[in-house]
Amino acid sequence: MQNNLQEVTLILIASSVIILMLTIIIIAALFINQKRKFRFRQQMEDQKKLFEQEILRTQLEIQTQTFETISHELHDNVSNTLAAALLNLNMLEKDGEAGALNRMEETKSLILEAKNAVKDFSWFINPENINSAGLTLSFSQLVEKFSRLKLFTIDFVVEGTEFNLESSRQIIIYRIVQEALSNIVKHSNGSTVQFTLRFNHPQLDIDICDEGPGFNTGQVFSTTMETRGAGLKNMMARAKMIDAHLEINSETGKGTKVSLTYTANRQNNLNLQST
Amino acid sequence: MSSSQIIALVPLIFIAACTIVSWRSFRLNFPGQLKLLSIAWTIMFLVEITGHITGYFNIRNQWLYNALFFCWYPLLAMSFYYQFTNPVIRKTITGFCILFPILFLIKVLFFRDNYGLQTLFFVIGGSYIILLSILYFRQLYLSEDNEQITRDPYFWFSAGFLLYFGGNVPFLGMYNYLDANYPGFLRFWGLYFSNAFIILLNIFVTVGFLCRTIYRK
Repeated sequence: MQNNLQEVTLILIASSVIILMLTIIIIAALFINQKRKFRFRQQMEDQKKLFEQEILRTQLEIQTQTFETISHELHDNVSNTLAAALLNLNMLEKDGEAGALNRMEETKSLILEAKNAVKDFSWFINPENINSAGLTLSFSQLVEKFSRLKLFTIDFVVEGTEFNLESSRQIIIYRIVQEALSNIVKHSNGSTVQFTLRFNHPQLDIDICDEGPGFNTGQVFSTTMETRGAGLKNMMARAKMIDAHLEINSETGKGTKVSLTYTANRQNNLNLQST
Repeated sequence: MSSSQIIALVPLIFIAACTIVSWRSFRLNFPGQLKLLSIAWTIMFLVEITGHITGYFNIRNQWLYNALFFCWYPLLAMSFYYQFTNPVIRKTITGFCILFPILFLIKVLFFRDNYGLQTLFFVIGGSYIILLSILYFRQLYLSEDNEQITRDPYFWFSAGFLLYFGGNVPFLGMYNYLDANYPGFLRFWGLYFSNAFIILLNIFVTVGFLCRTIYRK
């Protein structure tokens, strides 16, 4: 009888202790899990903030560069064209009737040229146009702008059908390409640039090859100096930010090839073909 | 009044406090499941008072606790119903709420042992509430919700149920056996350990009712 009571006591104590331990473990696991969840969410929010800041910075850079271009273009192009048109109008009095007609036609075409240039600038002023126009049109405008500098010939090829990308991603990609072309202007003496835009849903490939003097990539990327290679590092950082793969291959004397591969998120992007 | 009788009154104070706090679910218009739980607590409070009075006069009162089990477990299970997002768990709750009272009545009416404590049903009901509590913790663990778990009343209720039923199911499962063979031990365990679990349960449930005042509609 006494043994039975001992057994009963043991069972009750053991079961109570087990339940108590189990409850404590479950509650502790819940708290630990929630703490982890909060930390993860915080990290995600920080990353999102960082991404938004970078987008804003990129937009500002695009704007600054655009304003610089406009300033140059206004000075070198529009201003000169309008001056020529004014000169033509002044000459009208001196020309005869037949000459005046020719001069009028010439003035008209000069004013038209100035008007088109102003129209182009208005397009470049707003980076949101990149989103509304899409990458193909934005890049063709960019190519046209760089071609006007007459430093090199750009062979711009588009393959496949364009599909929609998230607007923030489009701006980043545009900025990477703009930086690559600006680098060619600054450093390359090559005569031809091959610019290929390949749409293969959900993948986008961009190749930019020049025949310039090239550079030692290892040396540029390993440098600790703030200014050297800052543009290239920025390009790399931006590509990483949108989960794109950016490869810069260059060798001294053999030109440079910049390749960007971006795979769009199927959930966020719509294929234009299907709409 | 003996010291054991005074000690036996302590859990009643906690039950009373918890019941009064639970009434705020009506005053502040808490969700239905909390109101249901408040009703369950009010019933328990009334049964406990009656149980103590009848116990004081040595009147057999086990039928009273049988009646409490009969309505208390379905009420507890039903209060969990809207907390679960899993439809299978919801179906099992519906099944339990239908089957438990039916089986209980069959046992009491046809097996004619309605004067003893229905320990089998206490074990079945208690085990089911333990299962629901663990499943609720699992749901909280997997949940992507941003809310702090300490602001969820069912977190506190589940912790309380887990402790109370975990500690009391083995004891009340053996109640009739202990009553017949070791009445002294039964009183000792009931007075100190079982009452401690009741106090813990009521503390957790009180915290659950107090942890927040505003609920999303």
